[in-house]
Amino acid sequence: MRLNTKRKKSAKGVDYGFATQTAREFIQKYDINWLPVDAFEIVEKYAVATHKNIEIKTIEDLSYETGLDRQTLINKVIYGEDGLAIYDPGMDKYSIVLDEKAEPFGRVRWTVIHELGHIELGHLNDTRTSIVKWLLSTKEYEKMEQEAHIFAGEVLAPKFILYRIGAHSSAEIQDICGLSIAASDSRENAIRELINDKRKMHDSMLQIIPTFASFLEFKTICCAPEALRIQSRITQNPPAQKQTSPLNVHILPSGKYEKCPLCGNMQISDDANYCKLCGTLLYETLPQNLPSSPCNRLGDKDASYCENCGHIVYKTRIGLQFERDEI
Amino acid sequence: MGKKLGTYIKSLRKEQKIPARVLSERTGISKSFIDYVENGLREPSAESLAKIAAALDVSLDTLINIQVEEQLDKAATAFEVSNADLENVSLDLRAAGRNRDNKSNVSEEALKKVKLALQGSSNKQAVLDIIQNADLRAIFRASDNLSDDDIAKIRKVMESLYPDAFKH
Repeated sequence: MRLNTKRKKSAKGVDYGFATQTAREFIQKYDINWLPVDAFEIVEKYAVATHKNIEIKTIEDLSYETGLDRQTLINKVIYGEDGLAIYDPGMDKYSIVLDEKAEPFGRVRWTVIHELGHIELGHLNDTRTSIVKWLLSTKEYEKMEQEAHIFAGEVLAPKFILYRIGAHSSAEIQDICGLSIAASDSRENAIRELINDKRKMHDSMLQIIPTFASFLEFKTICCAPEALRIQSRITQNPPAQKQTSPLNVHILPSGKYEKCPLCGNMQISDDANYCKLCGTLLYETLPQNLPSSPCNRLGDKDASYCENCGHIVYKTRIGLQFERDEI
Repeated sequence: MGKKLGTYIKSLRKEQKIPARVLSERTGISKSFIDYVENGLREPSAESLAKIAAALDVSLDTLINIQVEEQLDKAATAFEVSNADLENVSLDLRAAGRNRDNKSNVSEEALKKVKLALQGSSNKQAVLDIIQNADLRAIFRASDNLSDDDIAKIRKVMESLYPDAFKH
């Protein structure tokens, strides 16, 4: 892979390299290892780690606490946007004010990380307390907005992870990353650029692969395909060839065959009831209390059948079907 | 909105390894609404809260108590903002409420209230006590009509009750 070490800057002064590299370091530093990203949890983690006082406030809360109506706050405080980061130098406090009515939820997720991007990219300071048009020149405003946009895109839908999965379409990005259609379209374009021009591969893209190791891991799942979250992302391993006549196989004291009598598979877990490669029952006589099927168990990535219940299994990446805390 | 409530619901669900989509199936509440609730962006109705409590095997009282506690926190901030002496609040929220000509497009009073609300209540417990205690509330309301001597006496009593609030 050719490494592109040149830092790309646009005519507006947008530092793409700085924004993407900051995003990738952010992913590693705050252990963002699953998609969709839990943006609100990341803000908490970030605040604790950096000792920054950051609070997320909704327009609804602000309206209740100030007695001002929603529309005034939306039009005149966050300028009709979905959110705004405000820095209070006197209190050394950052507030991310959100329009909680923005839908779908993916839009809120994007706004939170976009505003956090302004903080992490150092856009806010004692004199620049918010990124709003009137406070900055058009060039400065667009540069900072674009950099926060790049940051949010890379944190919420890391280009190389999606490339590795093979998720290139906006619809798939929407499903996997939990983003709005507009944000997913924008990420689709970024990934297509990478596919069309491999010179854009950067070694920093690879840095985040270990962080996402569990998310990317292949496993098999014993379930009906319609129970899976992303059904377009499943395959099946072909079953192993069975012998026409059973092999001469030693039977263990537990009553289980030492290896599969029909395909010869020797990779048998201690609690296996069936051969994972050909689905043959591993007991000479039918044991009692065999589990019902399908049993939802996770199996090795090379399995064709469930070792527990003998059902056909589907191969997939763990992260595409499960939430992080489900495993 | 209930950030603490949402965080508590999310932590319970994660502890029990229940994915949000499964909680949605069990409660009949859309996955999207659960996302909003868990992140403090929407307030669940009592009916939705009861369904969530049942699905996560937690008492409804526990969830309602968190909800009430949180609403009181917000009431404390609202109370403090509405009773603040705005003349002494500096208007350094430069970005908010201005147009390109650096002219305010919203009243100074409104901006100062926003600033105070973003800062949060400075002495939440004392304010909560006033909100919750009818006697203290009466003293607070009556203070406008009291003489300076009376106020000084009340201040001494309050200082002994809330030493932290009077630290300089």
